[in-house]
Amino acid sequence: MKYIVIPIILILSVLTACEKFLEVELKGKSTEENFYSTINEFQLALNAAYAVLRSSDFQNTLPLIGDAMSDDFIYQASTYDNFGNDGLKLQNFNITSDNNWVKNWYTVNYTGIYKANQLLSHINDEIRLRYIENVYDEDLRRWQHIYGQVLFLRAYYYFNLVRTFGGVSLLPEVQDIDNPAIERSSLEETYFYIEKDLRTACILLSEYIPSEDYGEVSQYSGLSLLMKVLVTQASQGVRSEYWEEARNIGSTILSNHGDPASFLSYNDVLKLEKFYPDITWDEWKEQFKLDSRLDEFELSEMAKENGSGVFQDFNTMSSKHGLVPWPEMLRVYYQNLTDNKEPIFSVLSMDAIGTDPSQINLLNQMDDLYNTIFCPSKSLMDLMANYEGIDPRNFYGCYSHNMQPIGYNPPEYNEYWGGVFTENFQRFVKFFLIADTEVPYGGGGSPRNIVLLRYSDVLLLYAEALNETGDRTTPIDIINDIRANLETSIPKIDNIFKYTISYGPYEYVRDRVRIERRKELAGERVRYFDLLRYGNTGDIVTEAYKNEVAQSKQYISFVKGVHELLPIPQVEIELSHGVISQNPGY
Amino acid sequence: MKHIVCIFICAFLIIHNNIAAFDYQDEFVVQGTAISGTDNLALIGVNIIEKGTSNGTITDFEGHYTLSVSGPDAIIVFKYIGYKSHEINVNGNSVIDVVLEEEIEVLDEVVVIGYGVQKKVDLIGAISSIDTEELNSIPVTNVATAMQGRAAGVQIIQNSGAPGSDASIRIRGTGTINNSEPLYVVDGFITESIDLLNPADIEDMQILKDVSSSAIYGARAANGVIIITTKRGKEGKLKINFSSYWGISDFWRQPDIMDKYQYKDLYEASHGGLKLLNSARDSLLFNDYAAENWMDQISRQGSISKYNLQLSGGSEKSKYFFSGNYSNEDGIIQKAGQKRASFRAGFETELSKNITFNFSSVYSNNRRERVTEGSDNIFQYALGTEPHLPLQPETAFNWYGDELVSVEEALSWNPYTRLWYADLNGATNQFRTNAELKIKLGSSFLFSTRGGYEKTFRKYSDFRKRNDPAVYEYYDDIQFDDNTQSEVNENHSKWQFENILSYNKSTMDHNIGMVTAIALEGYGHNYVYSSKALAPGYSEEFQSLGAAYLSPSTTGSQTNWTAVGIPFRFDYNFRHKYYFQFNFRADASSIFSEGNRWGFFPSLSTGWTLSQEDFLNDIDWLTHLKIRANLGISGNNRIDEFASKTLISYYDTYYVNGRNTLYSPAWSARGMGNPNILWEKTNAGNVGIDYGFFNYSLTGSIDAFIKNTSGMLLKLPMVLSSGMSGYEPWQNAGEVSNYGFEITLGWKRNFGKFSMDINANFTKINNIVTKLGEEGNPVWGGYMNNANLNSYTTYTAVGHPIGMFYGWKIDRTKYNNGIWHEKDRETLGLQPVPSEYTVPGDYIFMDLNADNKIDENDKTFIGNPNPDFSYGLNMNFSYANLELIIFFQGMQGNDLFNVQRYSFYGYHGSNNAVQGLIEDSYSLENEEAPYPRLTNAIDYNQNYRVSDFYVEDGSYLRLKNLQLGYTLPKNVSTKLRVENIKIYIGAYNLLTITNYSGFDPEIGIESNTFMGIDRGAYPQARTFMGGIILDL
Repeated sequence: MKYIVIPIILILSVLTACEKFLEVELKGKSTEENFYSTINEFQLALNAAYAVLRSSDFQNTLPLIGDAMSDDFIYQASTYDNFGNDGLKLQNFNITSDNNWVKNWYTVNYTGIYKANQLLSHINDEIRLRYIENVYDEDLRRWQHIYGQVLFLRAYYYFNLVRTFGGVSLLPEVQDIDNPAIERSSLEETYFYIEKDLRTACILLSEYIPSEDYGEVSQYSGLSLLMKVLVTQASQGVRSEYWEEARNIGSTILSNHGDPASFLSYNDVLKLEKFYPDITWDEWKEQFKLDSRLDEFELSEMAKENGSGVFQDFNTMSSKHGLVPWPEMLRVYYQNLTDNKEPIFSVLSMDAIGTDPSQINLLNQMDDLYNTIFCPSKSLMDLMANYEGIDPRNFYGCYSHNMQPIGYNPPEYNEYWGGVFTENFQRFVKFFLIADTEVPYGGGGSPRNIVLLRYSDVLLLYAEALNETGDRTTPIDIINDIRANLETSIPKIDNIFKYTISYGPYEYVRDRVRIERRKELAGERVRYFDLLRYGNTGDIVTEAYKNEVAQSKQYISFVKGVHELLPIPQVEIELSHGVISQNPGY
Repeated sequence: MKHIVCIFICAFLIIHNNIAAFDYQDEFVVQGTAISGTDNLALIGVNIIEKGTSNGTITDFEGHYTLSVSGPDAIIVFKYIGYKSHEINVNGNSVIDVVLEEEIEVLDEVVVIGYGVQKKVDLIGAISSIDTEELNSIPVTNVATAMQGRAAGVQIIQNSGAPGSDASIRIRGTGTINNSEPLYVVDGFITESIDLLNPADIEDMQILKDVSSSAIYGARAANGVIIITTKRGKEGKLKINFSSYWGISDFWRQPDIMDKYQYKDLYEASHGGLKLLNSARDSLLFNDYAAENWMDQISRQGSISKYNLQLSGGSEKSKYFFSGNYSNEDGIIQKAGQKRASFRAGFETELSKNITFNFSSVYSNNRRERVTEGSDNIFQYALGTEPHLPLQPETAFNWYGDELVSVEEALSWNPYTRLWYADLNGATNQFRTNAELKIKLGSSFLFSTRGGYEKTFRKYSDFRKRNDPAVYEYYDDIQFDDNTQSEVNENHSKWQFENILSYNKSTMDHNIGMVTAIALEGYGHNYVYSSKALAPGYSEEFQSLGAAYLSPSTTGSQTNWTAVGIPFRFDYNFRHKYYFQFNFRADASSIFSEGNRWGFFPSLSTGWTLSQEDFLNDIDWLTHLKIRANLGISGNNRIDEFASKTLISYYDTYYVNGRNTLYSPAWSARGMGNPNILWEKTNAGNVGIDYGFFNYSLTGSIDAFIKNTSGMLLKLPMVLSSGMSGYEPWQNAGEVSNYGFEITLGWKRNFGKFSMDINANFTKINNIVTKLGEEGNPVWGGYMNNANLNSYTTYTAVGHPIGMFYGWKIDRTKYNNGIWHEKDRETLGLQPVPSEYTVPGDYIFMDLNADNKIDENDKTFIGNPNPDFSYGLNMNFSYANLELIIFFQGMQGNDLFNVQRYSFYGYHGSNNAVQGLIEDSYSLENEEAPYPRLTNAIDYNQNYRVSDFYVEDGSYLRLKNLQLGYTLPKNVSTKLRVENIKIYIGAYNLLTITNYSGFDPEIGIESNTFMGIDRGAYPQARTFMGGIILDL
């Protein structure tokens, strides 16, 4: 028997060691457990939330919705459309729940949300925070800036969804793989969620963009997007808190036009009582590690009482943004990017990556998209050259990129282009594209040629809010400012066009702002969302295409009460087993 | 063979005994005849001895004997090699005729099973033993390939005919859509592959097919287990064995494609005359150089040679073994080749009475040069390229000395240069060593501790001579800008440490065996990929990362895991009559999350040897009959090592801040890991009968089995709002069932000098997917990226086998040949769908859902890559010193998806096609032709979309091996001072009977959802060879 004892002891000792033995440290892989341990890793995770904006799913779908579904652009069915005629159906409002572009749009925004949630579910981990706090104060400030950015991005993705689908599923930061489908929230709940993220972000984000960090969103971006979110919830002609607050934000950040009395303090933006009803100021500050910035809060509150205080250093902040001459604005690329005040929130076109200069071809994909697929509608052309004369912005918005890429031959040298408005020749390009030759060699540099939010947009939203809150003159001044900037940068084509317009009553001002937005922001993927705000998308689009010559846009089948929203993709309804409900009418 | 040896021995004994006979005086004389029970022929030289004495004699040439014994009560013993010895009490009989029964080795043969050995007669599991002797003499260097067709229930598919390619093994069907390769255990060491194993080193090979035999390997046994025991040293003086063979190989057939002049006709027919010469390329049709056959240009006569040397010997206590081998194979396509060498040394010694130690070590080196296969394969170019294009750059000038096309263009068209454009080399070095200490503990216990370590280094280097296919192999005007060298360096390491305790006790009635062990394993894998461009030349010295200097790119990964297993087996039998066996294994692996690590795999088996029962004793012809049945659970843990973890990795690059002109990487998880995943689980059952009739002349077994895999890992689609679209977590959500039966039949007879041994096997397996998540989400596979064929070709759905071909059906029911004829509209009143695109001469596809359009919803199952049945037939005949081996192997009822038909049976502007296509294609003059119209215009109807047009019957019957051997007579070999010499000649893949039109009906498996798709697979060669086996 003694022979048996030895092996038995051996076996038992091995067994006890088993569990330890099976703990294998993963090599060369990061997991949730070991990632997010330094501020740099937070930055890497934040980059992922940004990077979704660079995906082709995002950058190809946005113009289809923002431009082609409006009265501005015509989407030509072509082999480019990977989804057969789905693009065509979308722009003609012949929309079914199996439309792949709709699915793309829905999916890509949720991908962005998932990336943001990954970071958000770990950004407050105590162990990691202790590390961050103990090392540098500076890191803590950067941590807050990252925190603010990721909240901003999540809000932006949800904003895209709520504008197109109505109230949507609000994902928990940590998803349950067994029950991933979340019931849709109401429109109000969704906006509440977006606002809460954005308002928090506005406090956490850095006030200005240090020159080396240019391109990250700033407090300015946060406030601008918040303004857009508020305006989107408001209705024209109906006075509401949304308009008031939008106006106040405008006053705060657009210093040239602001009324110091309406400047905002931190809490005016955050609205602790509404958005964080369960916690006190001190707890809130504790949560976001704002102890070191306690003074800022008090100062901003005190300053407000004095009638002079606002967000600290708002002058510095607003001095970073402003109108720039048109050619400058269009030539957004790395070398003079820091001097360009127009973009408030912009990303890089999806192709500009790689180390081989031949691979950096910004024009590739967008080229295909805009050369062969989109062209301005007759309706837009008519507006650009109506009784008011030929708007000089026409040449910057509408020219044949195919013929002469910008950067080689700026349009002002080819004035006659302005006269060429043939349906098939004239293409629309306003992606702030840069030429291959100007992309910095070796993969460095950071052209930010897809502008998602820019100064003129915010300025005109402010004008709109002013008009809605009773100010009839400032909005016209704002338009004239924009046109004055135009005057200095682009020569007139004819003598009819006047740079200055005159004052008028509410409806007049409202319409002038609408026209100005359409002209100024043509091709910047905002028109469809504006139409949704104006509330009569169907009428406008149907009216606009009555005289359209392009065949692909002749059959607009807009149904009121249905097509204001896109359908939730059918596959989503099925995969959720009905937890996620469809929009009415689909 | 046996007879020859006997005759020698007898001859000796006759002389010996005749001398001895003089010493005895007659007392009681017994005489008679000894005959064989097998064939009733007289046995010469049977040794007859009076028991307890040295008194004896032998039978003469008529089988007669005469023996004087001590008295009428004596007992005489008949002994004859190969026959059972027979004792007879004389009882006063003076004439005793005896019938000797042949002794069949089967009975005492020992079979290696998991963690032990068992007598073959006591087996109650479904185990196929492979006769390894023959594997060494066939001209394939891969063990797995050599096993093809030799075991029932085991489907072996060579993935390519290229030298050095591997084989896929499916034991009792495809149990999962994921990895379903079996587990290999070599000398107790669990290893990844046996590709580098030298067939000549194999002593014994067993395939454990059912759960009773495989469950002792628990979480990895679901796909079956192949146990290999390598050769060891044997007691005795030094034995040297040398064997070698040489062979030449060639295509067994080639498709008949058009030559230049036929192609000119095709061009004319498709372009509406030769008027439209679109390009210089087309104008080459008038060029006056000799037409080339591209296949001839890239192919060659292949060759194979192999040398093998073994030394072994030893004393009673210590034994040694050494072997070395070298093989060289040049494929039938230029450049394709493999060189291999391996060395093995083994040593065994008795340290004390109860302790033995053995050690073995093997080193293998394999160098392989590949040609492109798969989506970018060389055959597609060689067969599909227009035959009128110039082969050499110079020929591009031949037309009145003008440069007709640029040299670059000429070269870019050229399959020959395409072949030389890529240098694809692979080298593998593997080292494995095992050591074992066995300690006898008393009479019944045996404790053994053994360990092994295996290290494999793989290096693939891929040198592309430009980014585009044009190669300037001979040309001075070298543009080397794009020469790119890329390398993969991979190394695997695997160690294993086992402590095994076994117990065996036998009494008259009861036989008990028990074994348990602790098995620890660890695995590490490291992978590095690097590439660089702009090497300043083509020759070998530039084929390195050091020579190239632009665009460095590198990536890498690491994997590692550990596992613990505790196997246990209890077996019991009562008088070798009633059997009971219980197997159990507890397995844990680090790849699963903490709470899900341990798995338990029990199996239960019973057997009943009916032939041992008294009531069957009277049936003479029934020698052996056993019924066995078992049930159990095993697992498959060959899954993504990271499936349970949420990995955060490089996702994209984002110029988030232009920080110091550097871009910022973005890191995130693309999807979540699933901590709940488990191994795939297979519940299996088997019932079988083993039988042996007429004293084992006729043997075999019949098995019926069912294998249900549950928890098959799938990536089920998740709601889009999860944000993980495309990167869904793995889930144990699928189920697959395999059921079928297998029959083996062996027939062995000796007729004097002539003997025969015939073994046949037959396998029928049904494969059916029974669940794919709650929703039954189908799995698409077999993605093709041809011009019109850019879609998935297979579809795995509930209720159907894995990897079914899926596409549109050509409507041959209503339309003659499935083609739209103008007259159909008038006479039949038929409208083609979709009518707007279809013109006469186009295919009509079936509108299955009758919605008047042809779209995705009209796709259906169009073929099944799984065979109805497969079989093998091995026949050995010998007459005196001659031996003939005939081995057939085949499959029946499997479909193949022949992508080659796209260019063979259709014209797409610039491709060669098979001869006779013009006559076989629809035209107004030839409306009854089977193929659609030839046209150069855009094919709006998409005649060549994924449809049953591509599906062909892939059944085949192949004469795999035909071999004639001759063993030199003893007197000759003695003169040559060798113990034994055998020479043989053979033909491999001599004959193939198939209706398949492609290169070769044996198409490899790329993955389980990519089976039977022929994109131009490297065909199996036909080899004629000769060899020699020498024993010194």
